[in-house]
Amino acid sequence: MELDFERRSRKPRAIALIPLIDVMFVILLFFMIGGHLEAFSPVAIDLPIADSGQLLDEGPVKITLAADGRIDVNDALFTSATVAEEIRRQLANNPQRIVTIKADANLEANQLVRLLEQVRAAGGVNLSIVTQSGLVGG
Amino acid sequence: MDFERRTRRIQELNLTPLVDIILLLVIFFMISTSFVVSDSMELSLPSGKAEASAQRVTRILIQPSGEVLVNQQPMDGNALSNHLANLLAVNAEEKIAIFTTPGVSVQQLVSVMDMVYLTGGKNVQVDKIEVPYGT
Repeated sequence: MELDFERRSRKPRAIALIPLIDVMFVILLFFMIGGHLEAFSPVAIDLPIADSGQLLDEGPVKITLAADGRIDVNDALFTSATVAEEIRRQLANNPQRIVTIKADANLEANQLVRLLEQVRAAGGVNLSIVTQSGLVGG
Repeated sequence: MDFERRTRRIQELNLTPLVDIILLLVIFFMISTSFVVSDSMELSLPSGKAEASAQRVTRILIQPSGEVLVNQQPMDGNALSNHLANLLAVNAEEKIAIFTTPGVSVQQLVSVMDMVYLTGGKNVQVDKIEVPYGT
């Protein structure tokens, strides 16, 4: 009896890795299937919450308005003074291009409307603003 | 003798490199996946000044306190959705202009737009007022 116990305690020198691998595979699958990869944006924003949003494709012109006033048009940074020219350039060939605006929830709404006016001045017609559904974002 | 003993040892597969790689993949997916589902709202652009006066428009003015004024009448959230439902029952194409005042956040604007869209409004326009209302 005593001998047998000794022998057993000496045997498991290498830690059993199989359960660890099993668990990590499950975590890996959860993240691969449950989430989706998102393009990294240089300005971080909190999207406003809304229930009536629909799943629409992102347009070729993506404008991001950060809470600190920075504006990002297709991954290039602009100020409120220079963005009008960039929008005009983006819409010059085809004013029908879809403009997708991501605005931070805490931003002044007047700044968003000012940008909308600039898009309008550039001739843009197809416009959508991005929201997140309240169920997930909470 | 020595050689024989070695070949017997390698019978167990070395799993450590596999674990390393899986761990890297887990970290990669943990950092780069997002679980936020983003939706979009279509939006009409702010109307020109001439068009606004030509037709009957319901004006919703949002104040920083969260209170809304519908054609100058103060309303809370429930009253607003009732009012909109009545309006849209009469005329589904009713034009609705939402005005923001200084101090109103994008979230407040989107919440009001959300309410309008959920009650069935389609002709929504957003405009702004530069001076605080009532001062």
